[in-house]
Amino acid sequence: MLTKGFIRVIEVIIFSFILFVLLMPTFFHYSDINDWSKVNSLLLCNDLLYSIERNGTLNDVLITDPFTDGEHLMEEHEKDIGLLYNITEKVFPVFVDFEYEIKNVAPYNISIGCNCTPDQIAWLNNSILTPSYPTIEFNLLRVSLNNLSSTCDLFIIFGDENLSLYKSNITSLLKKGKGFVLIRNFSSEPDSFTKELFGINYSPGLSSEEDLTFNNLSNKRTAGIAKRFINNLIRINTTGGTGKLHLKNKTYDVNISGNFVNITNCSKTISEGETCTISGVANITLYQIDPLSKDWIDIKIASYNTNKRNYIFRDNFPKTVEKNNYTILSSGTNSGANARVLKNYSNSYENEPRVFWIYDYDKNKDDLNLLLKAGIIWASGEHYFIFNKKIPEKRDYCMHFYSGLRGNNIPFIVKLYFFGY
Amino acid sequence: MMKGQVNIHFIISTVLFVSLSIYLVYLIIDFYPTHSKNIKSDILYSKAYSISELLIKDKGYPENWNENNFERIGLASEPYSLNSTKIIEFEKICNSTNLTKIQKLRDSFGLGNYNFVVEINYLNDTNVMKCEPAGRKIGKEVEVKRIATLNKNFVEVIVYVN
Repeated sequence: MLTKGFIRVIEVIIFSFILFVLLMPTFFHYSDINDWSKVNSLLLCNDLLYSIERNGTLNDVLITDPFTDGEHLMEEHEKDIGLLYNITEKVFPVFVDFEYEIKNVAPYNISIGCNCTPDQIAWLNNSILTPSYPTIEFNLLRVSLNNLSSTCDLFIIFGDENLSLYKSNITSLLKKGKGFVLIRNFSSEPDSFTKELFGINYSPGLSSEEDLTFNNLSNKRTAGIAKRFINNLIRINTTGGTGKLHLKNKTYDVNISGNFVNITNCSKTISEGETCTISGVANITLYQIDPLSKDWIDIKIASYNTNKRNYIFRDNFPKTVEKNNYTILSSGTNSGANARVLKNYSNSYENEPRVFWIYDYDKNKDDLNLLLKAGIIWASGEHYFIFNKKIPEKRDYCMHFYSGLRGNNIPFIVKLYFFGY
Repeated sequence: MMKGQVNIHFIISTVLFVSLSIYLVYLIIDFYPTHSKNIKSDILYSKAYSISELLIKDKGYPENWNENNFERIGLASEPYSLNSTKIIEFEKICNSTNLTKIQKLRDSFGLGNYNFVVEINYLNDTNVMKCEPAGRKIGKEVEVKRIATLNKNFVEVIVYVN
């Protein structure tokens, strides 16, 4: 009897095992691993981004060329975007929709909130926020720090504000990827939030005229601002055919004659695209002369040294902020400008907020104005979607890293989303 | 036990055995053809994919190959940038009536007995070339489409394998 019962137990075990093995396929859901339609779409996506690089298509699409008739810049911009749309539309099947996300290239339009006075607004509009390709339009809006609008890409803060009072408001905007630019001197220890946000290490000191240089150009952040500095534009008012250019601690006369521009002490008269050198000061490249009435010229400046980014500024400079890891402009052990990427406020690289502080410099100086302009454009986040389409949760994307636009050596990322299949 | 009687254990085990056997046969019938077809399709797709990779990213061998000395076909000057001279040479090989040359072309793609067709079109649908070796009309079972550039224009390179 014992033996008989034992065999029954073995039979039950073997039978249960066989039953389990046979029924196993029904316990699991096998997804279709032969999804070649998805693979094909990903291949097309990657191929397209590589081919776009080969053809230099983004040089035309992301940078709107200045028009001889400045009134039609928006039309030109829309035409550029239309070109990209047509190419992408023909690559994907008709039932697939798409969107491009760009990081590290400034958009056509930047919206700015500012707690500034009417004089400061006028100065910003006239001296700083002039077209700088790819950003052509800067929409400046007066705001109160109590009520910052989330429609702005960044905020410029003037004066000795206690930012700790607005911490929750500022924090919520930082979490949305919004940037902040602070323009002020420090004559005493600032509030803790200002220190934390802009990386300010206060130490009492005096002001004196000093040379200021980009701090550690091998640092990625400093190099990034310096690259933007030499690629952005200074607009000089030349109404009546003459104007002034203020670099370092000197002023140079600018004269337009036909299609040529003569700048005092510059090595030669230059036309559009040409470069001259003011010895010991800067290389100056003429980008464009106002095609309608010659009321302005746009120029680029760079160092006369081998490394074009190694530009030397000169200004009366308050030595009250110590140099630290965030410093991008310095003189000795003191900082004149800090730039930070606040990674802990965002889960995605694309939305990391950027902040920029610069001391309250002499606002007549075109080189320091250009540095502020570069800081503002950088702090805007340089992140946008080209077609502004709603991207659904169920989507795929491919991504490509580009080395720069038109030789500016500023790396950027393009993500191509596709969905709807 | 009386003759002609079966006990309950026998009935249950027979029913279970028969039903499991039926289920097993069903599984085999259902599973095998589907997956067999998928495996075949995977092989064709991987062949088409490897041809497309060679065509749009590789220079070929020798680097300046022509219809008479080619060892491996590649249409690119550099990845994603197609060379119009190589496209012309490729077309000459495809249109050749020399079966040895055609077999060499298929071997250079590692195709063995598989057939293939390659089409290159501009994105506005203008045809640049079509390669149907030895005039074979094949069923276009598997298709892989790639994008590249030719003389600063975007083109699609479509590879069919059967």
